[in-house]
Amino acid sequence: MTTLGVHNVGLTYGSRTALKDVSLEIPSGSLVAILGPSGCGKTSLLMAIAGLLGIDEGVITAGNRELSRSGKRVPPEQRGIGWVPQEASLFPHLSVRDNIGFGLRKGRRRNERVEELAALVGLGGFLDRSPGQLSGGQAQRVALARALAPSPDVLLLDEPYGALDSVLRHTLARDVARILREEETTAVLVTHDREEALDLADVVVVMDGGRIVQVGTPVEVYESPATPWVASFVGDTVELAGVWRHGTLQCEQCGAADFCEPGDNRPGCSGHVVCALGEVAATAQGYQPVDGEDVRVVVRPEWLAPGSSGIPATVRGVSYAGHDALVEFDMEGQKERVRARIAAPFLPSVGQAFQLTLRHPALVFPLPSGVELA
Amino acid sequence: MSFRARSKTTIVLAGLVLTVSGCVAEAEPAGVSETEPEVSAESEDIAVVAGSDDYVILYSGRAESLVQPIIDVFTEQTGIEVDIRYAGTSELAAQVLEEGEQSPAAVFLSQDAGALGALSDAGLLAELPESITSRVDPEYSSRDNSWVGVTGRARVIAYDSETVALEDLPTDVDDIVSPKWSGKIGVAPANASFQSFVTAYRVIRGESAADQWVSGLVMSDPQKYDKNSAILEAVDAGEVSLGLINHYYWYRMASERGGDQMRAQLYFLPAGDPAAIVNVTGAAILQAQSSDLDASSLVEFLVSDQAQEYFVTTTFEYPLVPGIGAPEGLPELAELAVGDFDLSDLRSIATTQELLRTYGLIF
Amino acid sequence: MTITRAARAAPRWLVGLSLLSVSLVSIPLVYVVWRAVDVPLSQFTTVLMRPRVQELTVNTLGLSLAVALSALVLGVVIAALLSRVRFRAAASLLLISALPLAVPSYLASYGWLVAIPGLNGFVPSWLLLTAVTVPYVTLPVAAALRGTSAEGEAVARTLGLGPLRAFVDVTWPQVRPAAVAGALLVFLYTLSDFGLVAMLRFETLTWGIQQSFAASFDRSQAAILALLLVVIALVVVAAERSARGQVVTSRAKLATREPVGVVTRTLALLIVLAPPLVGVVAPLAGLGARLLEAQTLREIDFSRLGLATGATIAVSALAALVALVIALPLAALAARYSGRGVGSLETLGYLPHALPGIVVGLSLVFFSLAVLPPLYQTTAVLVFAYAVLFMPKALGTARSSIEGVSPDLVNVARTLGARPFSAWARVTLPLALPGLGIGALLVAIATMKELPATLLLRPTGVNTLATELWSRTSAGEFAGAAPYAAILVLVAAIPAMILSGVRRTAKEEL
Repeated sequence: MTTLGVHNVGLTYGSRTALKDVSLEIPSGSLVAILGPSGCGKTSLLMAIAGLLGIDEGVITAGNRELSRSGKRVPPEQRGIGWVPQEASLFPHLSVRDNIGFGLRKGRRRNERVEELAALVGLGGFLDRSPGQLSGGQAQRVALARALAPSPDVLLLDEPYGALDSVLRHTLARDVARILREEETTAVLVTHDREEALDLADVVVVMDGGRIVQVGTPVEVYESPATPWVASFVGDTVELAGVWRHGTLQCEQCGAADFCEPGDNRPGCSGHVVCALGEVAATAQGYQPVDGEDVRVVVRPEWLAPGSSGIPATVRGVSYAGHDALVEFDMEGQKERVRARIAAPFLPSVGQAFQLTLRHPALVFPLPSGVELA
Repeated sequence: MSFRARSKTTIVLAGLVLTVSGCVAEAEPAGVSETEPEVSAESEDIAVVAGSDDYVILYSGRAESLVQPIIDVFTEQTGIEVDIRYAGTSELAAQVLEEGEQSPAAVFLSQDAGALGALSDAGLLAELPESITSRVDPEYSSRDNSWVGVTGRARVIAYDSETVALEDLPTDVDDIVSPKWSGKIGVAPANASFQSFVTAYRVIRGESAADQWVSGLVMSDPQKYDKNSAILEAVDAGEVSLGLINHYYWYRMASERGGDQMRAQLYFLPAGDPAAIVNVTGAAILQAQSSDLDASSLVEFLVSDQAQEYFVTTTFEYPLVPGIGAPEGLPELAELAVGDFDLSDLRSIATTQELLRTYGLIF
Repeated sequence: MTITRAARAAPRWLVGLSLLSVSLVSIPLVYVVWRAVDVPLSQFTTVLMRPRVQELTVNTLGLSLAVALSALVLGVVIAALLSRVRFRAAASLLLISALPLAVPSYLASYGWLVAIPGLNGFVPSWLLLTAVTVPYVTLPVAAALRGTSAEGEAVARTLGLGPLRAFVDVTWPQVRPAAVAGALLVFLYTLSDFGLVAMLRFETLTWGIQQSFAASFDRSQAAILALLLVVIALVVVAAERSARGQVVTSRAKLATREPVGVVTRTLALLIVLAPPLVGVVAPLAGLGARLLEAQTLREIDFSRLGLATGATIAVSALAALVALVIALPLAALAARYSGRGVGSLETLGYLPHALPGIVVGLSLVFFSLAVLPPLYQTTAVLVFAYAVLFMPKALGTARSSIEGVSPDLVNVARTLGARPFSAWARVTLPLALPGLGIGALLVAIATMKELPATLLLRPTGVNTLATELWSRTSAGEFAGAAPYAAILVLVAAIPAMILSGVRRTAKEEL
């Protein structure tokens, strides 16, 4: 088992750039989720890793072995990289059994392996059915079994649960993650569903416009997003305008009282920001703002809590989700509205008054300078 | 899956059938070997000479139902196997022209003299031996012994007996283009026999008269057909009143339908009239096979009394060998006009074609 | 996101094979050019300038365009009716609508001439050719319609569009490629047809070619006219490629059939049955009438009939196979790769289809004697001639059936360890097979009916049903010809019927 490496990879279709300077390390045995909106290049990246597309710049390696380079490419059938495409793509002219066994050599061991995998994905009795007789979820499971059958080193999954309803999706995704861990298969999962990525992945890679925007653990990506866009992509956000204040608090991390530099492992400096929620603790993400500088403040709804003290606010709208509610507040004297996530069974009604406090340092970003930081 | 199985079986079956039919059709004639001289007891016309391989390929522009029986007789009598290729005369001629020296054919049996002329002009025909050319009146053979006439067909007028009275029929070829027949004449201008007739007109009555006649014909708005048989059908259906065809078509149709039942009836123009000339079918030996004695045996057979009588009784055509009687009911060959021109003179035919082309009768 | 047609270059071996295919099929073209350049340029222009030549060209163009257009419209209408109107015997109707394919054009015209002896000219030629060729449009469009969802139309209806408008705006774009491809085949067929127009005395370029051979024995003049045909074909084939559009692979949802009133249903039935009535029933009835008229009913020589039938079937099966093999690289290339080179190759593959059988036949006489004399007048060259003549019939369906196989499937196969050829053989080929089978069947039917090239190239002594039919009719023996005509139509009807059936299973499998 080796580490899959993507080094400064670029890929162009005619006039369109699909991938630009993409670098990534996929440790053996991990499950990496590639998260991003449609058209961000995630499928192209996957196909480049699989060897189905050639690359124009950079190198793709598996351990010491070079897989792809501009003008040179190890063919897909020699890579030992499995692929589960977006729409199952089962071979319609073959039975489930023959689909699963497609990549296996003929022989007695083949039958055993097919049955083993069918049982693994919970479709033991379906071996003689034809793909047309399967439901969406069943088809995806067969596709997974088929891809796993030749025991690939790496498995690539391209939005495999896209066509399924949310309940099925959730259970299937967890099952698949479990199976992959049991088989100790390295997996790269492409998805636009943030919950899926956060739940299942060891590493989340956020992509936009053909580039990688951020790589980190789910917690890192969620709690310390690199840009406001990433923040809003991986979770709900509330954006406010703010003014940076520093120097009034000891920097917990470096000990400086007056001014501190962002370090290698720190996303940025701690300080305060003055915004609609008052003067609150904040961390600057990836840069060092100057005192008095106008900044963008991003806060997650679950960080706002109704309490006995804080900014007075009135409920203006409630989005009920069963397990919690996303409640929209007007704050006294402020133009900006905020949303707070309030756990059930506490369900406020419109017009109720509360006091809101921020329980977690806000995230601070620079103002956009015309070009979106990516 | 069943479709695949079905197609596999079909292909296997097809392969089997092909093998079988191919074997049957392409079976080598028995006895491809040196034969001892074998003199047939029958007709004195046939003699098989040592050195032949008892096999010859014939290209026939004449129909199988006509030719096969008489060739079978030939094979029976001489032991020479004949493989016959049937197709249209002009297509066969085009094929032989294309094949050139590599043509597998030894003998060419043609429906008309023009095709033979074309082959002769291309240098593909061998000079026929005296024994063959002497049997037929030189009027009906080539001038340079490259081909020999086998049977004769008279040009006649088929007329619609229901609408045309005997006394109204034209007595001269020029009457045909008179206004009273306007729109009611059927001709096959592309047909060799028609063109021979026009050539005959040119020779007998002169170029300017011929030009006048053709333009007169066009002004009469004739119905144009591809073949003589189509003209006859048209006359019989009452579509046209007069049709210029060869005599035997009528007899052939009559044998299927009964001459009295037919609406179309035959009329021969007086002897000497260009519209009553005789065309011939002919045979030739290809130069590349000129040493093949089987070939000359075959051609000799075609102008033998036996074959000539066969043609008379089967196709109602005229025999070209003296001493054989004309088909019943037909005027004797000697009574019909003979033009003093080479039936296969392509240069002359080319001039005729140019004339017809000028007036838009042919392309 | 799946990329259907790659901007990347096609693999060299595929291009090489396609070039080989195109070269083989271009042999008649080479012959035509060879003979045409025999004449000095002045004579060349003289021939082209002749008013008659221009008249023939206008006739040819006019007839071919008219037939292609009417076949297109009628074919689409019939296919639409068959798929959207609730008929009681819908499956049989589709089968019947395929039958005109089985009737040779010369037979159709002959049968009608028995009924209406004076029949001739543009209009009868146009109508009859339409009747006989309309299945080339009906069948692929019917298949395409089965693959389209009627949901789009339903949505359009809820938005206020009438049924006709909904069809035109929503469904037509999806079936357009199939319809236009079929119309192209009809155009090329009409360009090269000789038998029907000769009998109906409508003078076209093919007639002029025949005249050049028959009356003047002038092969160069014939070649010049053949070149004209090729030029016309070139223009139209190129135009078709731009009008074709992209094949859409959509999920097939069975269309609902609309119940309609009796009057509408009867009208629809009449429209659907018109081509089979005109193209099959009437001609056969005419031939039957001739049969009854004949005073001497000759006995049927069954062994001869059997041999001819066997030869016909065998030779068409082989021709279908060879044509498919030749078409395959070209189809695969055109299906997956785009670019000007690919387009030109595909166009070249279609051109020889415009040439009449006699030209193709003579070209192969010339070619086989020049290159492989021992093969002259053997079955091999004959089958090859058919493949050259009719490959374009297989090319269109082969291409679209390969196009219809999602590249995702092949990609998955490769990630599972299959080398490119293995992936193609195990995935693309089985899935494209129904479509390939259709192409093969079209070639088989055309081969069964073929006459002029067969007469030229068949091994001496071997006869097909078509040549037997010809030899009897040219000798005026209509009674003797009738059994051969009947068996010919019967035998050719079998693949025609399979054609309408195969399409059904193909769609269901996919």
